[in-house]
Amino acid sequence: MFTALAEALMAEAIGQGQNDFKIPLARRAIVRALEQAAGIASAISTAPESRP
Amino acid sequence: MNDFLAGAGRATVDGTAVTAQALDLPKLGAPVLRVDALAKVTGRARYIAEHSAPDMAYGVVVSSTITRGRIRQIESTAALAVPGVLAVMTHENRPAMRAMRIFHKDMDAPGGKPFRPLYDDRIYYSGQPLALVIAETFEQARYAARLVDVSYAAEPHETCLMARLHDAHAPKGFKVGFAPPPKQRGDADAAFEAAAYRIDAQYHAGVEHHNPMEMHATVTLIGEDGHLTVYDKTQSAENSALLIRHALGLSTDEVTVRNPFIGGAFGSGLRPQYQTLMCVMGAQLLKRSLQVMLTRQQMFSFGHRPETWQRVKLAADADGLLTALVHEAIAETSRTEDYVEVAVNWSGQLYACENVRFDYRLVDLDQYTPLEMRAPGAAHGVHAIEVAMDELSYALGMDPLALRLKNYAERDANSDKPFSSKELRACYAQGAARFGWDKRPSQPRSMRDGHEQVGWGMATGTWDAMQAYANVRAVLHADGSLVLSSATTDIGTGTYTAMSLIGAAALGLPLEAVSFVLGDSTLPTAPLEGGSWTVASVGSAVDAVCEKLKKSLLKLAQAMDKSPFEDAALADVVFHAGQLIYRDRTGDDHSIGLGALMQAAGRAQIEEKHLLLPNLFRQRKYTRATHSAVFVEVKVDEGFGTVRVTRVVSAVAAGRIISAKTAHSQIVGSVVWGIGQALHEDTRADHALGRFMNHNLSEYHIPVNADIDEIDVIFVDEDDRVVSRLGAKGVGEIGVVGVAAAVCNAIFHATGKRVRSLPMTLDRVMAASPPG
Repeated sequence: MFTALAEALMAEAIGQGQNDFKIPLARRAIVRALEQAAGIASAISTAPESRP
Repeated sequence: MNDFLAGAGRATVDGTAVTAQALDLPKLGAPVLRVDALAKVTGRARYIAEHSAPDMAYGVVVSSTITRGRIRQIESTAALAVPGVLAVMTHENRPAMRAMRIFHKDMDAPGGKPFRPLYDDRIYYSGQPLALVIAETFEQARYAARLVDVSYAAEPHETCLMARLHDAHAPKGFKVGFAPPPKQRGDADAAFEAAAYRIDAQYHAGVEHHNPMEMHATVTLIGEDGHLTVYDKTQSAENSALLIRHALGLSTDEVTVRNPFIGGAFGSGLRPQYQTLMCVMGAQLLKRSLQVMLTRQQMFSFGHRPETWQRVKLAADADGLLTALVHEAIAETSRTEDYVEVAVNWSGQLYACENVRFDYRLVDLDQYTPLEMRAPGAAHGVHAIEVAMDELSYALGMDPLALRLKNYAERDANSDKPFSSKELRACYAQGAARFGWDKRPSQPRSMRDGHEQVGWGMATGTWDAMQAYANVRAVLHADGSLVLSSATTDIGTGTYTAMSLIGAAALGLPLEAVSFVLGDSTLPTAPLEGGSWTVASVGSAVDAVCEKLKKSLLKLAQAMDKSPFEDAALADVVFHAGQLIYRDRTGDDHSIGLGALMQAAGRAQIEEKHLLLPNLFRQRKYTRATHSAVFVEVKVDEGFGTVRVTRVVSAVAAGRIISAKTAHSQIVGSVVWGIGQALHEDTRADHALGRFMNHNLSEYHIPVNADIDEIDVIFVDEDDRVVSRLGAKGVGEIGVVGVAAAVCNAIFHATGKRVRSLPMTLDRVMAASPPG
């Protein structure tokens, strides 16, 4: 659902070549922010590190 | 004991007698506090623009808005009408300046024709100074500078290195410290084609600009006799004095340059920048004292670390033994000077390989001449070879550290000389142990922490261990105080502290009894403060002049009536806690306080000077270099391409460490700079305009506290008496070399993505393709 929302919000975004990366970046940021707000993803990772 | 030994067992410090036991005598290598710390934190340390005079005027530079062409007209009427404005100095009304370019060459000038500020109507680059607006106040000058209207006859320009690679040429000139690429050995290209394991990769690094906290500034004070005292942001007061004298036709007696405190430079002050001559000329024009300080934007209008393209080809057999090594680099320079740096040579020095080929070329652009920045050349060149070695390790399925050890150079194959010392193996071993490298999974994308992929990477670092001439004066006073002086500089690296410590340790004095005077062109000569050579050069001269003082003191003691020191040689006596101590053949101890000795000899002070000249006959037999091993942990959020450097271990072999705390700080600072090079620093140009666009600290990113995590510095035991009598090689540059490569290699380990352009910004991390 969050992904669909992000797609909708960014649907009219147009890149200018060098800044094209900002469009998927913005989509991901929206999804991540919504996940954090919904408690699905933590703002700062607290998971134990998987160092060997 | 006899009367002669009055004062024995007592040291006099600042006129107060104290016992040896009460003294905390410093030793070389001690982590002493900075001797200038209090002055700095209380504001008593005055930086360049803080020097003033009652009649001070202020100058603001007007910069070119085109990149190449000529000035048609500079309309100053509106600016001159502003209350308080005294003059608008341009190429048309400036004081006399020598025309011949030779008079504009400073000690660090590369080959070619140096830039002459306000010389004529020619414009060589965007941001070039065109006028100096001088007013009673800085604010008036700044406002009026905006009213100066310059009309131009613009010409086509070229500022893009990557569009001009095909125009690259061999350097036409050379400069101090530059060594051309070594000759080809074997047939690298044929060996490469024949190899089973090989990589062929291109690397790119953008422009970086120095951004010391203190912006470049010059203050010219005119004495009643007309003498010019110039406070200048420079890494050598002598260098600025030389340029001012030569360019403006002044005698040695007419100019003194001072730079007692410098708020960072790290290359930007190796050459006097344009505000130096403009300030002196402005003061001459108005016959009053003048201050010129550049804006932060104008800090992007002179030298910079050059944009550089590199290609590395490596080949190896199945065991990881290198069979071919090719390293090519093309860097930018200006139209007028060939700025050169050692970029590719390091590869042949770091790794043993029978088939090597190197190439280093330049592209002339309509830019200001590039300039040394922390570890010039090595910061780029070692980045490329160290990322390439990492790439090869994955091609071989071999641990990156094991690959480096497999190809460890016991001798410098470039010069076919042994190293004067090389504890790189110990750097690898100690760094790896501290980091926990043996627990590293070999496969990329093996570790994760929440949203973030975790990666571990490593790289090697190396830098020259150089020594230059240096002259130091030492004056020992009867009150036990020692004053050392030399025209060197402290750009914040700890020169005051290290030199004081060397003097204190040599004469067995408390650190508080020693003062070091620097930053004045009239002091005994010293080299430019750069290249990590100040301790090996000036520090060795300090040690040597203190030895002369000790000889003089022993002679005084031996000249005394009924002297128990009569048979003592210098090697037999000890200077400790302000005393000269001697154990004679019968085992009896004799001592005398230095103050008492000098008083008895009727001497208020003893003065010695020592000019240290490197022992080139001995040094030339060796390759002299510092080394490091850098281990890095990164965490990469692949959704956003963001990279955090969460852990760095830097193991450094830099000879004997003289001042542990300031040396540690130098390495930490350099690692931070390396992280900046890896992830942040990038001056972006609009090539249509030929102009750097992000000329401010809001858009030119540098690491901030939030970007820096754990940095662990290890100094590996090393003592190199070929490089210097102190055993020191020098720290500073070595800390930055290899960091960007280690970060890059860690990003690959985290993500499987190889980012070959610096800085590795989030767009580049996102865009990089995973292998296969």
